[in-house]
Amino acid sequence: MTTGTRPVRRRPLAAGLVLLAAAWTAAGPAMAGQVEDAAALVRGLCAIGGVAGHEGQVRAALRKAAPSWATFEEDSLGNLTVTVGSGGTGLLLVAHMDEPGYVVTGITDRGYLKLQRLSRQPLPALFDQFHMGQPLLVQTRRAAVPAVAVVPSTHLWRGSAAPLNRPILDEDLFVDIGARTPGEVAAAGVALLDPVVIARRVVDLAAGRVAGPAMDDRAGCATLLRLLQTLEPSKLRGTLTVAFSAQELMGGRGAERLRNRLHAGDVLVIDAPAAGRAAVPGGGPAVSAPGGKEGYSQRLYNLVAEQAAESQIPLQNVAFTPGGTQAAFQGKSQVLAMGVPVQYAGTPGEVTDAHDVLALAQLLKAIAEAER
Amino acid sequence: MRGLRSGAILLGGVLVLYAPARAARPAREGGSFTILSTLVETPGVSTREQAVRDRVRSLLPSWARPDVDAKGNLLVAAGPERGAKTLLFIAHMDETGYLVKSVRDDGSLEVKPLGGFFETLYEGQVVLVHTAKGDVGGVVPPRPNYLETTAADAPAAFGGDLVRVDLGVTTRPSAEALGVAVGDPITIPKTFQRLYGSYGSGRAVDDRAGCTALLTALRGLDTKTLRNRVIFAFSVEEEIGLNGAQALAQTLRPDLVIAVDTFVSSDSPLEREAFAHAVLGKGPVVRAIDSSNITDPAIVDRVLALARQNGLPIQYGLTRGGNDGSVFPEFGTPDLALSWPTVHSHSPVEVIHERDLDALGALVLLIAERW
Repeated sequence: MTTGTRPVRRRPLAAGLVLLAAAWTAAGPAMAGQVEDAAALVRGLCAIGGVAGHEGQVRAALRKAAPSWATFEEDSLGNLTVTVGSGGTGLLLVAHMDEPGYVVTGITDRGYLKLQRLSRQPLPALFDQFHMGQPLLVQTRRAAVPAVAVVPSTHLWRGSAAPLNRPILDEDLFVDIGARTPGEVAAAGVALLDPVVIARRVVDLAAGRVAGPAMDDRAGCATLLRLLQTLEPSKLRGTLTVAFSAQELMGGRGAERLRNRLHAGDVLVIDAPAAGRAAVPGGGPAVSAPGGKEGYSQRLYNLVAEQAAESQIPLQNVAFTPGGTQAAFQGKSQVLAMGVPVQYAGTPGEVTDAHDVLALAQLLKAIAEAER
Repeated sequence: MRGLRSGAILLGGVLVLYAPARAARPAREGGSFTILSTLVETPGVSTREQAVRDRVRSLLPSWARPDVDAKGNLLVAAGPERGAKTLLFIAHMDETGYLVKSVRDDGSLEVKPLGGFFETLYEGQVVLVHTAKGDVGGVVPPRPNYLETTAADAPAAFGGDLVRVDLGVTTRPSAEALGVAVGDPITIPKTFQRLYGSYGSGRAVDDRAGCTALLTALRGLDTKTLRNRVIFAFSVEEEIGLNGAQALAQTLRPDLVIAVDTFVSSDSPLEREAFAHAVLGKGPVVRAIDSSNITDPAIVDRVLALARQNGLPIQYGLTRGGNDGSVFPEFGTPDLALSWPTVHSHSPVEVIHERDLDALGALVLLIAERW
């Protein structure tokens, strides 16, 4: 069904949201139930911390929520894959499990923890400020230990913002777990290199939107989970591999391992669009424009656009952050980046819309069942 | 959908999932933190203290007959009507936060801060709007240029009119249909966290810890043997000008007022120890001097002696901030401010040590019975 012609790009459409809303409203309680199910997947995955190299709890949650027929493989870097079907040009769908965060790099004489960011990807300039004065979790080998990031007291600065009015970096953060000596830190089970994430505060907004940390890319993981839950393996054309990758924020290391382990002709990278781009939550799945420096596949773009049109799913054309997972597969496979729009990316209050999760899962199902 | 919901707590549309997080040391049953956590997790932005008042009322001993004055202060009295002395204990119920100022055409909220705090602590964070219909989730959008490196040049340049709340709707009627109205209070999702080593943390430990100390004392009070008339007041609107206490000062003429409120300490790696240094875990603090009051040294000495004679740890010092009792000296009543030491004041992570709070409750009881 693929053609060499390039379809007219769909622009971000405010109308898309209206169309989706209208369609789902007409579908009634059944669709409302599906939206709630998708929102529950997002909530559940965002409620788990998982910095690069420490995605174990996310992996466990994914295994638990997947359908019973799904047989997972876990490789040496912690990527989780499910392969179903056979023959044909292999299709790989990959979403990353890791989120930006910190690891413990020091323990002071007074029992405070010092941190360093664990991400090679650029993060918002205020990323560290978003953590100062907030509850955190230290994910030790035994359990998650509650902690707080120390912040100056308003009173002692007479209401002046002076102590905060300078660039705040990870090295400025002191983390208090309630220990007052290095020995107490050890007794609490906290050790050097333990990962640290912001405490999980996830709230429902109106109309199927959910806000909380790590929507990038747990919304993508939720989408692939939803796909697995609704997939009918007998209808697949060719081989489909659904992958949840590790260490994306460390330069796509998990994806590089997948590239060398799997043989997929077509790769759809399911990730949040680049922060600050115009993809609107609720406006439909985001898709990268073909061509350009990133070399996204025109053929895959056409396939996506065609299936979206058939399913009446609006798309939003936006830019995706180059590098990472996409770059890992370039040159070996046809690659296209897609994802669930995320607003306020890089903050602890990232916003995503369960309607987009549903729509993207539906679209991916149609693609997996289509002739490629 | 299987599995993912287990262990999550859904409260008013808020998924609070600290589990399996746990303090590395088991919680002590029956300690002050049991009451404190209940109070901290109840929202009560200044002028909107109803939920806290209800919670305090539910925690009173069965003998108590609370009154609520026209301002909203809750009062419990005990002891002889004409006791040797009249002692007034005050702790405030309100906390800093936001109120909805208006609903914009695009469905977002303009907000008004109540009390003093670094507004950057809300930037990019999730919040709850406490409406008459229940809690509604929202996000405080970060400043428009937060992704640019120049944003880091002045990270505190956020606040005032820049602060909005995004509810996920795009029109005013949609926001109003959620039940959101002008005047609704806004807080972060409030959870009290026990830390290692008997520390705990949350938003509005100031002054729910004071309320806890008063409740602990009330529960321990032997009302039949009291020599003094004791009045326990849970006040409103402290954070916006001691307004509840001002109303009390118009009608009550106690012999001594004891304000039970935070001692903001520099016991933190980000503060200077030369000022306001009371150590968390070393006991309650007599807040002998603050921005609003200087306590008579003879009263300070008497409290220190009383605590020491009864084996209670005690500290004293000087810090900043005002206290409810400071509106009484002009009417002839001396003000004694009693505290527990805290750090990170008015932030989402105010920290307190349970031993300090236990001892503070015991000290309030001692003063009520033996002053």
